Amino acid sequence: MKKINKNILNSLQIYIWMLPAFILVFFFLIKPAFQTFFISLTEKIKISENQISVSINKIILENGNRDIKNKNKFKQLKNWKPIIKKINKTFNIFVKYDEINDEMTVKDTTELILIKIYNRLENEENLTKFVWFKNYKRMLNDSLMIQAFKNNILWLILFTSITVSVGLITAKLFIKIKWANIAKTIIFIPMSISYVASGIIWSFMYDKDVNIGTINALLNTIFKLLSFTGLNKYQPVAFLGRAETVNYALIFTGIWIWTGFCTVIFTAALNNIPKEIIEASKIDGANSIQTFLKIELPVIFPTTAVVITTMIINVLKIFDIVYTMTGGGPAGVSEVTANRMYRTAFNEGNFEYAAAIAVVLFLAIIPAMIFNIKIFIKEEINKN
Amino acid sequence: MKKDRIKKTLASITINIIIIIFIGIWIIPTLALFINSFRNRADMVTSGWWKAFLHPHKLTFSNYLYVLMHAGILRAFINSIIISIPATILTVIIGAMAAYPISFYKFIGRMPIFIIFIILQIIPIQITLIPVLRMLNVINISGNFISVWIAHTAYGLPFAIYLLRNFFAKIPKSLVESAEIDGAGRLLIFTKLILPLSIPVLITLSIFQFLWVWNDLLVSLVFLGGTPDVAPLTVKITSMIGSLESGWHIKTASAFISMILPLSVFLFLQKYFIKGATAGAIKG
Repeated sequence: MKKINKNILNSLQIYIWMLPAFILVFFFLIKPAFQTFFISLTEKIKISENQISVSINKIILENGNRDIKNKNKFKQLKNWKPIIKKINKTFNIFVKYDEINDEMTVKDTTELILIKIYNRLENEENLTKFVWFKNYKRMLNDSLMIQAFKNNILWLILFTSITVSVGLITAKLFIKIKWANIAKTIIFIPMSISYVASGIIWSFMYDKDVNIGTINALLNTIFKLLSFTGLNKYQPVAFLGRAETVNYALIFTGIWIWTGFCTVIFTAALNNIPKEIIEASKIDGANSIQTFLKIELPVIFPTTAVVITTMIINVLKIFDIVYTMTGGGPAGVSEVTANRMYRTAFNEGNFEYAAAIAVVLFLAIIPAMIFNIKIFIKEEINKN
Repeated sequence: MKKDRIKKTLASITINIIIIIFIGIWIIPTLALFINSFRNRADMVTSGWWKAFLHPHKLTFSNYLYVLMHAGILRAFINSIIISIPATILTVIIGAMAAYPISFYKFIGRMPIFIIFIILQIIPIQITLIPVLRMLNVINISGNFISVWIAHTAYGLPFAIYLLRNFFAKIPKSLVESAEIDGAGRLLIFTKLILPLSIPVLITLSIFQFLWVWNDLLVSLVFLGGTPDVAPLTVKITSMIGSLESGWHIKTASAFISMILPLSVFLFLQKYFIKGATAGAIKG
């Protein structure tokens, strides 16, 4: 008994160390996640003053004396306290019992309640109704959301595969040059600047004007040089303005930002392979490519798996790049889910629908999350 | 033998050239922005930035001066600093205080609590935005710097605790045990033993968190609102993009001002930043 008490006391003392972290993490991460889920199951309804009065009167009639006249003092009603309680609950307001003084009639009290309700309505909190999965069903028919989902899938496939494979290849290639560290530093730089800055750098590159956009200028020059072959004059392409190219342009910017990360991780992983294994395979007569494919890749598979899942989690969260470079345009063609959520919540004010979008985003990340955590727990068990 | 050597040298040269071209994809865009930030508007639209090398005398600081003095970038820069420094300090302190017992002491719920912090790292911020904004409105601090200080700290704690705990795990428990035998209490062990030993990871965490907050867009956008007097650089720059008043001469200079600090931190403290950014992804 004494030992158990000591244990509990010990733990309580330790919890104090962790209290600030607990509190912050609870109020900013845990509780809001659940709240968002509940919000996504509701919908705002707009009702008129008349309707509210009618509802209030109905509650009063149902719970109080059936025989009231407007002159009656409110506090003389039978069950006036449960009435207030019910009204508070129905309209999500807070009328205190002592706000109603003994002289107030039923009419006065109704007016007081109306004022409270309107105060709350003014603070952007319209009445909410529980609608189960209506918001989610709406997403399936929402063409803008479908476009966003399609874009996320495009990002998922292209971004993940290219960053991981280019990262792997560059990790292998950089080993062969003397200035590997400088090269790695250069391609890691985009990780240190903001998505916004990278977005501006590439908006600049993609610009339609041949004097500003480097890519168009390059193509223009190439076409000019080849003009002797009868090639037509070059028409500059607005990479960010045209629906066919905009997503690829954005994805390329994302790849530009994250490839260095993959390179650095793969370099470390490749360096960790015991040299004997590689030498053994060389002695067995395998050339570089065979060694790479059959020996090195399998050995670094855990790292590769983690990198892939990390990239997947990152790509689903993409927001800044699209927001900065195209704002989702042209006409929503380049929007991703995170952007749709932001726009729905803060430009359109439809918080319930946005909450549903956020939940879907979260659900999409869960598989990658579970994978990462499984690997992590395995690691911890090995360590302990 | 000589044939082999020639082959090797050729191969080496080829690889070097390939890598140089590859690296060019990173250097050229940044260079383009950098050079154009020193050209005035008229020059920018009439000729490409590569031509700037031919007329070095035309390079000017006027864009930077304009952007700092008249377009509000100086204010935004200061705001970014005001936001980033306390957020970093809070994260490091609170994170260390939480990672400390997890790493060195046994208590009820130790592993589950740690695992929860791990899981929290992956939660997308979007799923917390709406309720948190409402909560901040209720306490009446949205639009105030305090809201982003505690928001960034909260969002950064899971990773901070993970990083710190990984480092603390490498400190021999025997050190802590002998200090306990000598009669030192938990606070003393924390401040006089663990923290001094942890300076490398504290630096790594500080740099990483600082840059993360400096570069953040979404949290400041939602919790601070768009008013220019509190907007950090990221928000200010994105707000300039849509508006008609900004040409490329403004965007380039502003973007570069927002990049100077992170770039310098990165280039001078590379070792620490890379450690922070790649933590947890390396197996073994």
